[in-house]
Amino acid sequence: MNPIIVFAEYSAVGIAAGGIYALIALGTVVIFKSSQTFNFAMGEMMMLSAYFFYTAAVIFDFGLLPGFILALVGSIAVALLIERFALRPMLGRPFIAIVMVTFGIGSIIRGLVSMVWGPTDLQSPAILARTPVMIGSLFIPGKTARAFAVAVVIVGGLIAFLRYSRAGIALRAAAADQITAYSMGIDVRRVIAFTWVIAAITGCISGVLMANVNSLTPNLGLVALNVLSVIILGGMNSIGGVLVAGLIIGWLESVTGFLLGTEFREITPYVLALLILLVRPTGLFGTAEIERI
Amino acid sequence: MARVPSIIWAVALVVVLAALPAIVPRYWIYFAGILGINIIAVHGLNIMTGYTGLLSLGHAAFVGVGAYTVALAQSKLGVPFYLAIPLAGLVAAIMGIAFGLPSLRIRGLYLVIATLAAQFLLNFVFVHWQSVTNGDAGLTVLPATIFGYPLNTETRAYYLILACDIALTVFAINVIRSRVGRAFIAVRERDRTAEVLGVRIVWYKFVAFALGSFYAGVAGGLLAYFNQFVNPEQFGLVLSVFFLSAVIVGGMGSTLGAILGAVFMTLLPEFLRGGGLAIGTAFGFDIAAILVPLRETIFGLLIVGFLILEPRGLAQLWKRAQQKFLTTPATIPITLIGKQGDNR
Amino acid sequence: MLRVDDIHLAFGGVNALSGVSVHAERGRITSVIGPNGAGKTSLFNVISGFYKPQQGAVILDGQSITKLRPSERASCGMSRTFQNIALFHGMSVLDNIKLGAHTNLTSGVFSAGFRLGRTRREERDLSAAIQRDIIGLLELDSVQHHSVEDLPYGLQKRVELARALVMKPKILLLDEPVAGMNSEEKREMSRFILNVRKDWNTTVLLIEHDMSMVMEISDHIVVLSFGKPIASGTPDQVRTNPDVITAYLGTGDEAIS
Repeated sequence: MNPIIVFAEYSAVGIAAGGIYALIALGTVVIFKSSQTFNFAMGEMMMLSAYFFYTAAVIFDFGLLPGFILALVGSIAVALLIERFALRPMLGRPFIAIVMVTFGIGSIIRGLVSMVWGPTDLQSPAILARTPVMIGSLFIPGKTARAFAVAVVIVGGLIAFLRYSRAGIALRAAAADQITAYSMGIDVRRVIAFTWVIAAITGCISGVLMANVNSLTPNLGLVALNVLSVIILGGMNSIGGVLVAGLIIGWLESVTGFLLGTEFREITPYVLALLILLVRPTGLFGTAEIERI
Repeated sequence: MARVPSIIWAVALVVVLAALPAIVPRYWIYFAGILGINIIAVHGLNIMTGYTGLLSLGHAAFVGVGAYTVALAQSKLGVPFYLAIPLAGLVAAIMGIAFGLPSLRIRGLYLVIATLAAQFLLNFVFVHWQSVTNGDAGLTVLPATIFGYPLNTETRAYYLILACDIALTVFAINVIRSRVGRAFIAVRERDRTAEVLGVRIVWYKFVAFALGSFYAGVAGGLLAYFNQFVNPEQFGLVLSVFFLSAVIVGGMGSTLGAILGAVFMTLLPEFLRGGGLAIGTAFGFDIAAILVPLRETIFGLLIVGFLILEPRGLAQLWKRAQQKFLTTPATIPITLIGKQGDNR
Repeated sequence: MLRVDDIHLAFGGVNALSGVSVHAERGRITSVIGPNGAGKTSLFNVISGFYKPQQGAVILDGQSITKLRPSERASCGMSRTFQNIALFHGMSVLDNIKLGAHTNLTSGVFSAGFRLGRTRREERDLSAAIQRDIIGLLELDSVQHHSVEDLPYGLQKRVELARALVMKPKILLLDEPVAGMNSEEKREMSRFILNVRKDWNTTVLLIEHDMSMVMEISDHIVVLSFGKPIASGTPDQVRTNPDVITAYLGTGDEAIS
């Protein structure tokens, strides 16, 4: 086959896969914006959601939609529990202590899931059709293409929500200046909890999609550590930036896999992250932090 | 104040540790060896994360660099152990600097990401650079030899590890109570203030990172000799989490804490296994199957629990217990002393 | 000793300092006063090297230090305290004080780790110097082994002063040394500052809100208002300067004291 076509195909598949990354990144960024907390447990929250969905839809056989709703409720509950009992006591503590707490939470969830559901791969129910999508002569696997479509809809919806809803405005106010927001009558704690709910929603959707495209294992969340490099690439202050970065990472993984061999896929985001650190530490779209004494 | 007694205690401890192989069963000595290696690695992470506030999520990878350095230096170049161990530390330190340097200039998340990248990239190299590392199958390592005398039993290797532990613990204590150690803590607590007082922040971050990676490399080198085998699986993310929890549980920024944390975290899985097997047999289910995830869960719980409830870790609990049982001048309430000082 | 020449500093479009000059003469206590937002702390941050002024020079002992980084300025003999206490938690009082001598010591990791002669000697001499010159002078002997975070506020301020003094600075910058203190603590702090000047002939540059203290201990006062110098002179000259009274009281005619 024509190598250019093959390359284009890999590119399209990669960008499509990047849609899920963008979704995960969005969840991470909103938490960071509200409370300067970098949530290293995002991947595990996402993985846990996928297990919730599996449990409700397959083990208890509630059907796909009720199963998904139950998974969503469960994910939100877990996120709120984490925020209330692990992060809120850490308010005002050093940045690295908070990072370590979220890292520890990730470890807890990974271990618990392995104990409850076992370490082996599970087959998530098919929610996305397998029939491939053709763009011109480009062949894109059905699940990947549809997952991308779902991610686009969700991301678009969330951005509109953040821009126009009262809650979204409160979030932006809190992100700009917590103390001023507080004095304006915005309950910053509720805003923070609210961002955890958003993260739970994006995590749940991306987890269910990811488990559908790949398979369901306790290590599903580790894939989302790639999102960390996405976040750096995008710069933590810019939602638009991380979305673009998500797509770029997806594209790069796919193309590197094609050009160098699949084993290089897993390290692509980290190589890229290191390169960006060397060249442009504030990321592509972020702004430098101005320090005051 | 408590100067002389603490030296006597230390000497007594060394004597007991030296006599240990004569006292306890062989299996315990294997265990003590692993523990000694972990203590060195945790000292390293404690210097970086505990004292200087540089969070590393890739410590295990630098331990791995040390282990592979020993394996390769021995098999390819025939380097004897007394050179190979410092070399392992040195190579790990260079790797640490290579990964850390770009992000040490900036505060915050960037170093965390760089260390995570180190964790995955180095492990990737261990697995995929087949011609050198032999991939997943790993490399075998011959035991260390002193003047033709092979340290080929656990007991003999134990003494090598013990010697390194003593040397590196003393070194760490010395660094911490010097100008350098004070600069580390100052950088962690208030970097701008430290700068005004003449501390070159970036330089000391760099020194702490290199020193911590050096300790990791030495630990890895010893591990290679001790297990006589190196493979990528030993140096995964879980090991990095293990080291991090040891630092936190022990008490960040305390050398005693690093030791307590390493002891606690090394012994814990054994107790889990022992207790778990007993419970399993009693109730008739196979707990062995969930031991690995159980460990992971408990590491995570310890990290979160200690950070929220006792950020200064076991070292602080130890200190409190000591103050309860020994009446030292330090137990007089501080407010009293403050008043006396003011009234003069 | 320290000369600040025609400093202009702006953040974005806001002028924090416009044309500020201060001369702290050797062995004297010079104070910078002014209402909130007058630019006093900005001036200190320019002198320390945190802010880069758009224009102007900072000259210490005849040499321009305008381009030096904060840590390099410390090596030139500049030290300072902070408006909000900036002690290092997790270290004892003594270690906090020792940190102030960082630039006077030379040990690196190897010398420190192996406790070589150099480190041994340095640390011994430093401890001796602190016991001899600082602990007694600032009356810190009973608390020197305590953790700084356990100390009451006034004592913490005093430890900060000790930390700034231990390097035997040529110029000592004090950023509101008595803020938040009760009157007895204020009197003590004034006495300490005067003692330091008397014993060591240290040049002091002081920012302070507490007028009675400023008037009592200063040799020379510079008044800033909205980033501009409006007056300077001896305490008596400043006290009666109508511009100063206006700046402080709006349009009042009451003397400050």
